[in-house]
Amino acid sequence: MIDLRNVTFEYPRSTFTLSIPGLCINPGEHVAITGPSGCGKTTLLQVLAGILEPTAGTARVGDAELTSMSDAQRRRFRVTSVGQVFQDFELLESLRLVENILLPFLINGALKLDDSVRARARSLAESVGLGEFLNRPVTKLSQGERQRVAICRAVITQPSLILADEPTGNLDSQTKLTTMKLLHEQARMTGATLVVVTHDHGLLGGFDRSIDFAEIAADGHSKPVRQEDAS
Amino acid sequence: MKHAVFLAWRNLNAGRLRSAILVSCLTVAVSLPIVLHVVVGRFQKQLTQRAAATPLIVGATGSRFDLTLHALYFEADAPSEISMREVETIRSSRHVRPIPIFAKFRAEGFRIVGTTTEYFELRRLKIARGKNLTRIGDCVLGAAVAASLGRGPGDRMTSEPENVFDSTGSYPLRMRVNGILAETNSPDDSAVFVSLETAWIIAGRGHGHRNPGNEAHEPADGEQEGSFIPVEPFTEVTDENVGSFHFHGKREDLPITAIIVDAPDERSETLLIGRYLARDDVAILEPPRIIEQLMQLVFRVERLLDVGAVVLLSTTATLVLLVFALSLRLRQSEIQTLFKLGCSRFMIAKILLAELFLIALVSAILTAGVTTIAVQIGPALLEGILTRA
Repeated sequence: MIDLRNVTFEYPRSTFTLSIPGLCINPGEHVAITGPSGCGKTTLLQVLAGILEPTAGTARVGDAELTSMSDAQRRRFRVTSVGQVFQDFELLESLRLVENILLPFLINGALKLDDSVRARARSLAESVGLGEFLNRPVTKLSQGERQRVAICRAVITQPSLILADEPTGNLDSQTKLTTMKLLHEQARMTGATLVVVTHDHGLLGGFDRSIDFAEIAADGHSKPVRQEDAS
Repeated sequence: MKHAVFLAWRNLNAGRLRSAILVSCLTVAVSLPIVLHVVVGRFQKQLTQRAAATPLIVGATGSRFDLTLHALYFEADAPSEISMREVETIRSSRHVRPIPIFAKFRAEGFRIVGTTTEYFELRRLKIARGKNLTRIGDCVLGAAVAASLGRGPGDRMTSEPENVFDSTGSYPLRMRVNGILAETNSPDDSAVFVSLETAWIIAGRGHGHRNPGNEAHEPADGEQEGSFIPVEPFTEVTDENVGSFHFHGKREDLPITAIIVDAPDERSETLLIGRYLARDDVAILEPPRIIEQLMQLVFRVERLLDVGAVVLLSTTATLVLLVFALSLRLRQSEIQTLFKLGCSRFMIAKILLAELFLIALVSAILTAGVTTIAVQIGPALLEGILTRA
């Protein structure tokens, strides 16, 4: 369960302040976060991923209390519990398709790369229709294929939380639907919580609920948003 | 660590051109001074060893470097000739042994060295196959010549004509290969040894007469009977005609290009040097001193190249750092991605260091290869440059 209370974050040398009085997301829930550009959606995802440390408040993700963790602990939490999908995929162009999927294991000593992981990577690639291109350089993949690789990379560690920051922003309308469907499927397969930032209201149908970021931030008070409230 | 090396390798592989330029620059910058020092060191060793084994050289006055390199290596253009009379003059000095050398011609690209068997004793040359020189027209091949041409005892070698338009009749001489010398890793390996008499025949100073009975030639219309001399592409000394070969003029007037003087002690050397001080047509040289002077020239060039190498190395180091600094800036988004995915700063540093390590490793391997090859061919190349200059 994600539980944020009175969380604020201020960027150094910036007037922007993220202020979340309260936000609750249940385990396994698929939540879309919408809102205007620059309102702090990406910052919120980075707080949830443990990349940014809140200036104040408490941020709990599962058993992890992010505000009391050291940098190293948050990094370990990110490695073991969070999968991330970015708008511009952020694949390493020097690596091949399967190596990009395995990247979390290549850059973290805490994750052991063995044959079972390699088999899972192959299986994931096959499940998203990329089984034939395992050794293809990612530079030779289409945008849609790249985003599918990014999704595989996000779920290869079997995280309990998948965060996606406008994952369909660079895709055409048909590929958007396919990609979002894939993201939901992969999250459901592992029972992971899925939090997706999107501007595209046409994609909200697949989520358990959507949250208008402007509303939760503007309220100024702790306002847990639960599934039952949304329904 | 293996994952860091793998990611580094992938990144270097993705930027092959950049990596190749970096590796090439480093290889050149590092190997140049190493090769230079090793090659010059070996060259100096080879030169000084041979010079030390050659106490004195006598030859026509001229370039002392040319004369020394000619007498030691047979490579420099043959200096002006002196006569065999000089050999007898030196022989009249007590205790010293003059060894004449007439090295003016070539056979199939290799220098023909006309000398006496005393030369073989001085250089401790041993016959590996076949026999030593037994009669005029014989030759003994250095190991490298035999290997290069694939010749052995019983085969033939033909001298190169000095001038194809030579109308005086000094035809190329077809020589019998009588033996092959054991390898010495010295210039003797690349020489074709003949007797002085054979060398003089090649020079046109001696010849044989053919049996007139063998010349069954009917003069053609317009030709004067008795004036026709059939032209042969080369001459050859055979067991049948060896007795007819002879030299016109006195032996002491026949030419040589240098004399190596084997003196048993310093006193004999000093006495002989004293005798030649007043001569201006003939020079006497001490090879170790001449080689030392030659090496001073080489060292001066080496020092100049050393300065160049330091500049090159500094420039390359700056280039490598600049490329990496620029690369880091260009790869900021990639590094950010790695960080967002949970990569520690330590791991990122390890990947970057692994890239530097791999570039250094490949450069080191290439440097070792380049150095090994250069060390093999460098001294001969340097020797060739110096002796042909």
